[in-house]
Amino acid sequence: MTERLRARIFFVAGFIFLALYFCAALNLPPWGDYRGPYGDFISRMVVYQRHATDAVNAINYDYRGFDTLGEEFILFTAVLGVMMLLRRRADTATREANKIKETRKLSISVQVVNFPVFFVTVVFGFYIGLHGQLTPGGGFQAGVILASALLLVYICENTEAFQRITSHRAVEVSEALGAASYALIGLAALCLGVPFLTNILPLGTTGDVFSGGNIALISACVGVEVTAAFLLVIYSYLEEIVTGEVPEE
Amino acid sequence: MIPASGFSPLPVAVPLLGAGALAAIRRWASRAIADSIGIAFASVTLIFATLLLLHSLQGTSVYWFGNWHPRGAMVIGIGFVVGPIGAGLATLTALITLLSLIFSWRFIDSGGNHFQPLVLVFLGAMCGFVLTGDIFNLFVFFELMSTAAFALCGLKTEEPAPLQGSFNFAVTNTVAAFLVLTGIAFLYAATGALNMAQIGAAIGARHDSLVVFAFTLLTCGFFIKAAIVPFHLWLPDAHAVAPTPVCVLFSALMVELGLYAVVRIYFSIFEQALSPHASTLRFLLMSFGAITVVLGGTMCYAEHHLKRLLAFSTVCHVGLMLVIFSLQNSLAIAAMLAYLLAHALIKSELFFTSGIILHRLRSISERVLFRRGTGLRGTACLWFIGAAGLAGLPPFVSMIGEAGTSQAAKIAGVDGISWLFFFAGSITSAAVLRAGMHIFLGAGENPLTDRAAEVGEMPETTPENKKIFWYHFAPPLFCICGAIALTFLPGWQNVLRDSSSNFANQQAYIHTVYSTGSAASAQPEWNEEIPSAAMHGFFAFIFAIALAVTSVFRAKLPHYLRIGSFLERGFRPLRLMQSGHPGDYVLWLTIGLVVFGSVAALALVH
Repeated sequence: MTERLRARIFFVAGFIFLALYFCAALNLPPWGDYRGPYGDFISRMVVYQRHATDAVNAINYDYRGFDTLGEEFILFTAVLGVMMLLRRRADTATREANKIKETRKLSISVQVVNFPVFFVTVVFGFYIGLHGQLTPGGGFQAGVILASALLLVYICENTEAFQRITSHRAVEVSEALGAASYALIGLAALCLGVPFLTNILPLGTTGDVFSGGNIALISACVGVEVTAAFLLVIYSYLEEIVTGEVPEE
Repeated sequence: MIPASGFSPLPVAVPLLGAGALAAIRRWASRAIADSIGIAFASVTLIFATLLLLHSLQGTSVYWFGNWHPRGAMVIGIGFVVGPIGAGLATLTALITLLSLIFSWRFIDSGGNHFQPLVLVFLGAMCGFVLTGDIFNLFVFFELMSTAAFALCGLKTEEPAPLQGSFNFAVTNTVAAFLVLTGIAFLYAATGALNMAQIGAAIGARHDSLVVFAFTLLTCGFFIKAAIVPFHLWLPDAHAVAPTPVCVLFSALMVELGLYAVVRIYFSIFEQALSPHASTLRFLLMSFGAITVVLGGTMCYAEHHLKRLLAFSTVCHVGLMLVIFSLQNSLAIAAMLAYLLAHALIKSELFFTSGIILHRLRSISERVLFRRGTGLRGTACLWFIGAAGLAGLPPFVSMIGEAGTSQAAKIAGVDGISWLFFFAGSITSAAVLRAGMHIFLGAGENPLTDRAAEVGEMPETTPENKKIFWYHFAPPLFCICGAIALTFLPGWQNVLRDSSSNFANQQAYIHTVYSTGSAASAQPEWNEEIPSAAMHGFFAFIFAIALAVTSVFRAKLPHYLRIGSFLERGFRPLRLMQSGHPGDYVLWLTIGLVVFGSVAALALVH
């Protein structure tokens, strides 16, 4: 099938699809007319039931925590898949790729600016991760911020430090354990005789860092998993540049 | 002590925990240790799934995660609805996964111990998929299942073909995820609910364009997973390149679960809404199913790459299951599940045997293998027995599915379905027989071939060791024994019929979710249909042998009798459809979606 024919047929089919979509959308409730009782219920009850002020995270990590377990494992599996697809077999011969190593040195000013930015990013990451039950944030967002802090290390040309951190086996282990510990928290509830992922921690005082029960703990585990997952993916993608070796043809 | 219904989350939690643990020690563990841990976690999952199944026989239970029970009509958390059908499918999933792991024991290249954790994730996702009663949770497990499947499909990274097959699979199934998610968004916007029972109760008899479009999106999205024509194009490509144990998981479980999701969603959400147009809907679903049977069967016979051949036979049989579902009564659902069970066992057996062939003879192309398998008696037996099972020869359990279908078709007043059974059984069986005659009997001369079979697949095992051990023969033997033994165990059929009557009844489902337990109602028997189904299976097998013979000994036959070789050459438009270009695949599935959606919109709205 030629590109052109394919595009033409697709536009006709796509147009019909859009028409169907439009017809269906006509029957949606009008803009701004929230019908569902769920949102109203959660926003009324979340502080009372969970002592958490961030309703979104209360849903993510508590009311519908089981979905988030699945979502976390989607990330875990995707990273496992990327590492498998990009793996270097033990018998792959590599050669030095000089061109990649010989890049011009960055100016010292970039490094000077980057250094404080790195620390601010790390602190910000921890803040976001540990306050998920109070303000928007949580483990997923914190993980991305913390992983990008390490990208700053890479950007200021400290590839050796970057390689030491990201290629460390501890990253892989903490990624796996971060994912598994979510399932373990769920199983802990089961051992206490209540359903999977039921809150088993004290709820604390509303507004306090130590509040919201399971939410903070799960959020921390997710944070570890996501940080490590992003580092693994970044390392898999940059491996050839960082090590300066490419597989021999 | 936790009551048995407390085990409900364990078929999901145990394999996920195992995947995490295995991934943590992946670099240090030797192959044997990683395999043992994988098998151990799969076995524990199987035990819990079986306990759950035994418990569910006393009545469907609902399990609320986080102890969030519904408030009045509003569901707060996520619920598992554990009935005999869901728990039974979870048990089947755990069993087949365990067999696949045993088959791959220190044998199939594991990609640096990535294989075992990915399989465990796949197992956990499938168990969650069949047990959940929440449509967004269903989507989460759909995604988890797909992610693990994409990676498993591309396990053999040394060649470009697995990456291409995996890529086509990923593109089409991501489109599927988009369709499903959009469908869920429409339903949520209209009802404010994610629990299927709550959505079903909120929609009631409403069947405006929104409900019908959401039905289209969800059904077509899961049809992509279920490989219904024209959504099926990814499937042969993915099967051709995936390692054997992964093919087993795809063909015996994942594809059928796509159809299971369609059935589950239809009977929990849309049954009442679409019931005024039941006959139109039946026509629509039956057309898609019948086209799938015919096209899958025809392409199956035209393939000479053993795994592609088996993959198209899966397409053909899934089409048949869709035809059974389109009868839309509860007996049909029981028949469909019986057929699904039979197909899962027999297709696993054939794929395991193809893995043994690939291991022993280092090739998977029928022409290359010609006369090279004459010494492999055990493998040949397994292959031919599998062929008989595909045709539904008694005493294989597939004939029970056919008997149930005849009874259900009588109730629905539909004729001619047994011809589809005859076609699907005989043509797929003939294709397998033809390959077997060429490979193991060395019959005929100069086998035909096609381009896809000549791409050549690298063996998935290490070349030094062509030896074969008992644990390679054990999984296919177990499947065969299971497929025969189930015919003589009558108890499960009654359970299946009774639980289907609850499963295929929206009011009963909603009632089950909101209260606890439900009474099973009695169902009509299908025993009187078994003799005629057995007869059909027998004739289908005879016809399959005849067809294979006209293919293998074509040179000795007059022109007008060379039906087999005519079919074997394939049809050019059908081959062109299977172009391998992901753009074409997305185009075809868009066309399928638009056709389904337009017919549904014109016929089902008001």
